[in-house]
Amino acid sequence: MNARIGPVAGDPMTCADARQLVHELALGTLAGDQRARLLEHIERCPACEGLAADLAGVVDSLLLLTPEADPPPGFESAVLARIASDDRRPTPLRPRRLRLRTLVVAAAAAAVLVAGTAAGTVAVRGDGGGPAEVTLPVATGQLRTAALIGGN
Amino acid sequence: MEPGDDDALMAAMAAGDHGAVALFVRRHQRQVYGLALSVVGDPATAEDVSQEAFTRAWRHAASFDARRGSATTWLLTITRNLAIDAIRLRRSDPTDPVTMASLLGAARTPEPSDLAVASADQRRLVQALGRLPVEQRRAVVLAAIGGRTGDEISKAEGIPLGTAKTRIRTALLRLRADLARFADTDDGALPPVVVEP
Repeated sequence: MNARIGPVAGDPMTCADARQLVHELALGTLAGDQRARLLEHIERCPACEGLAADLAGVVDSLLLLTPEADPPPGFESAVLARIASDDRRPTPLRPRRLRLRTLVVAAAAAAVLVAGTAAGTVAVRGDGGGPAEVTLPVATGQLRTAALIGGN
Repeated sequence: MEPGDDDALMAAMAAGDHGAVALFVRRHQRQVYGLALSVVGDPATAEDVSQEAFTRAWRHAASFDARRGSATTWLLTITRNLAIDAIRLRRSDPTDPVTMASLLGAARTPEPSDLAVASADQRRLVQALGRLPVEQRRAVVLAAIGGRTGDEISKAEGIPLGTAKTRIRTALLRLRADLARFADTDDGALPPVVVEP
């Protein structure tokens, strides 16, 4: 374990910085350089990683609280027709393949949550026919994949 | 149905089983459509978003891994992101009062019939939401469910950007702390959660 507090050479983001931003990672509203630097920090800081995972878990749980509603009549058959006409077969995104680095995880679920929401703001196309995962700098997990799938 | 059934359905969908996807749609359509409607506030857009969410789930079923989380959360995350995209693409104003009201309604107390099947975690989250100051509750619902940015929340609520950001951050941290504190208790009591639009 390598949790560090305070600035470290080669690590431009401190824990104090990270804790001001980590909720935005969970919400998927962090982008660009800040996001990249935070992910880099989290990858090396289990404490901040844990916080990010917790907050992402809270965000995910909130989705489960939304009220159910009856879709319009014919919804199910419309979906099935849409699927039947979809010429793209189910394609694995191979979420375990990492391009730049491997996120060190104490718990697989934690990594999923961190990575999943982290990908929320990435402008990645999951349906363009190309292997979407190669465009992501970090992470693993199906919530990342979910964000990817839902993100375009 | 048990969660394991979802995993089996996902596996069958990954193998191209159209019967499985029919069951999957039937099982989750109310939850998916309810979330989409909460976020976009417009039935036609919500229907389109929901159809697309299931289509994406079908197309990418093979990427689902049951060891990493539930199919429901996976599907709802897809739905939420598509709904947010739909707002960005089709609505000029994410701070539209009608849409915001619809979204804030999403955090009302669940119906008793829903709570019967709600997990202990969900009940604790409802309780924790109920303990937040109303302005924080509004901010976190708008951000987490509605995908609204701090800037959009500040405009919609007529508050400075810094205040909006602080409310979102504080609310999430408080929810996290509250859930951790009550992780070992489950009294089942549910305070009303009402977010005034």
